[in-house]
Amino acid sequence: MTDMMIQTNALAYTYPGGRVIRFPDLACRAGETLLITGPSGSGKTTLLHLLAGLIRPNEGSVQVAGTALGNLGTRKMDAFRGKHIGIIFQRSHFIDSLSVSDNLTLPLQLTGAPVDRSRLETVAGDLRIGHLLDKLPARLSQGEQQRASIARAVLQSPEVILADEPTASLDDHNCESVARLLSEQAARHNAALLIVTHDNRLTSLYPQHIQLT
Amino acid sequence: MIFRIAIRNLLHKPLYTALCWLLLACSTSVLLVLWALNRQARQQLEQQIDGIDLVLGAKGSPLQLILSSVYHLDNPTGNIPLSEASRFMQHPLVESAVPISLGDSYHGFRIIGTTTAYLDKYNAKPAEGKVFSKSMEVVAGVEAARKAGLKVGSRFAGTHGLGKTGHVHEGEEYIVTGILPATGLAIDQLLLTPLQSVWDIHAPHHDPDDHDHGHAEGENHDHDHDHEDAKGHDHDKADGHDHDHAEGEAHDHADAKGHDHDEAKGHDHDHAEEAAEKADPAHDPQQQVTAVLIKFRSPMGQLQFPRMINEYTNMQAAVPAIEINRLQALLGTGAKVLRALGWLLAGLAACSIFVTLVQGTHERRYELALIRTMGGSRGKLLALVFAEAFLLGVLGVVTGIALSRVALLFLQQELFAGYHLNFSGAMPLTAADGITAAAIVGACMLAALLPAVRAFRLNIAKTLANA
Repeated sequence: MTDMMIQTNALAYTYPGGRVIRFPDLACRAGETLLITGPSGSGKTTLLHLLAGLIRPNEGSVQVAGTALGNLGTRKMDAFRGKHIGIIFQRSHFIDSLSVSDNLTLPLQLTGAPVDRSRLETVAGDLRIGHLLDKLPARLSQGEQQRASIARAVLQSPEVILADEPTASLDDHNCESVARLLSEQAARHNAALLIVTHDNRLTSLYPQHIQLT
Repeated sequence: MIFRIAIRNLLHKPLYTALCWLLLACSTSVLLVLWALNRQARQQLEQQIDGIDLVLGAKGSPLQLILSSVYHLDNPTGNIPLSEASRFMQHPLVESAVPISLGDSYHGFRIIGTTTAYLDKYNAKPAEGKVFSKSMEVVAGVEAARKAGLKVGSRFAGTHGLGKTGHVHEGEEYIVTGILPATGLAIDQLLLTPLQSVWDIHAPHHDPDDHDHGHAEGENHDHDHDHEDAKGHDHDKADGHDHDHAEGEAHDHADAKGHDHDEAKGHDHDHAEEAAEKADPAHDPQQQVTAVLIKFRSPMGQLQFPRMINEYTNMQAAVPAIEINRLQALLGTGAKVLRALGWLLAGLAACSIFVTLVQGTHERRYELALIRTMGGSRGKLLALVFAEAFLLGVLGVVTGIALSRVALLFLQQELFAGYHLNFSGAMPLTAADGITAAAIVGACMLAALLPAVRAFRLNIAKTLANA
């Protein structure tokens, strides 16, 4: 398998209103981080959804971990996403009724992968949420929730981590901390990390970035 | 995992869950109790009339005659002379004819004057002691013996009338010679004695002192000494005693040897002829019975007897099967209303599940989208919504079944004591119960259909973009 984890070619998406947005070609290898910045409405989230296979492009192609997403049906795409792509959202979404621990292992359980308790504790410890595993997500602070989101995204050792505005709602201290942890975890798991954000605080941290207009 | 999430989701909203659970449990319970009671009542009613094609008794309500003489529930319609009944009892079309005579009770348990043929009809042989063989001997039903504290050898005096209180026939003691085994039928609650006991104890010479039988209202002394037979008679003696019956049942026992019947159809009776007939009780006009339980040799009897008796005699012929069908039709309306109420509750439960799930899928749309992003398929979202409905349904139904059995356990005693119907057979679940439970769970699943389809068709990109 090639170490090119994300590759797009002549990607374009047409919104329901008819507006067409074209994206520059992207390439990101395992262990690399790519920052995509741009103002609101520039298509950052749409790009992330295309890369995650949540929506399909009208033109062009997306390859993730050597697999052309356009060839996958809905069910296979869901399974592929769960296994190979970790996603972090701006707002940390959790299953409110499940404990932090259950939420972190949910991608593994949904894809039928075994749950390694010691690995869970290690990752949670690295992200300083080890003591929060038995709590409900609503009991966590915003910073803790975002760190739990990172833990969930990396726990199944995905080849690709996609982060949508991961620091937008955090203060400066937490912003830097979360960004650093995200990079560390991606590097530790040799995953390609792609961050889309309009948070200019991150541009100084990630030299490799593409600006959408 | 999907079931685990479903369980946690239900626990996460305890009030909604409790409401749905309660409604489901109540509806299941009501429906199952009604099924069980209906089924068992029908079975019990039919079991007791098995082998009784026709009941011969005094004129009045045919249903009352059946209830009083077969189920021993209602008050008798009156008495008939054995001499007149004998004409039909000995008819070639009749296979068996069992006379019964009601009048007294002990601790509320009816003392039934009859013959050993009555025991044979219900295949009842004493589990302890022996069958009665002479006047004032009693074979007690198992429940009557247990509740009245009777054992073989016990002696007791009967109370006039069928209520718990009334004039006690002091000095006329019955002796228990046998205790019957449990049958689950009305016989369990009876005290059976030869007909002669009833005749002896109510014969005027056994009660020589003037006394007034004043029966209080509600006492249910209703063995009408209704001498409206063709040979109606008028006894006027000097040293009489009066039985004043509260509910229009006036009859005056006039003296030691005879009595005055204040009836519109009063008539003279030849005592010489009476004395001659006394040699044979069947021809003794003073020997009365309350009813005769008849079984025919052929269906022809069923066709001929009712008309013959109802049109040409002062007696009444009632067909148990017809009366019980009539009773069930009457009770069926009430049961239908209750059953409709049960289904209404089930419908409300399904509606509450529908509302809960619709609201839940809307509130949790981000969670559902999240499950998709983490590898959960659309089918899993569908399964999640259905799983919640299924769990609620099963939980409610299982609780309802448990509640229904507890309710039946409590009702069982009351119904047996009050209506002589044995509901112990109502406890096991039947296929109908299973179908009812499955229908309720099915209704829950149906209620989950729309929310499940909404979850299935959720646009995850749009949902997450709007988060």
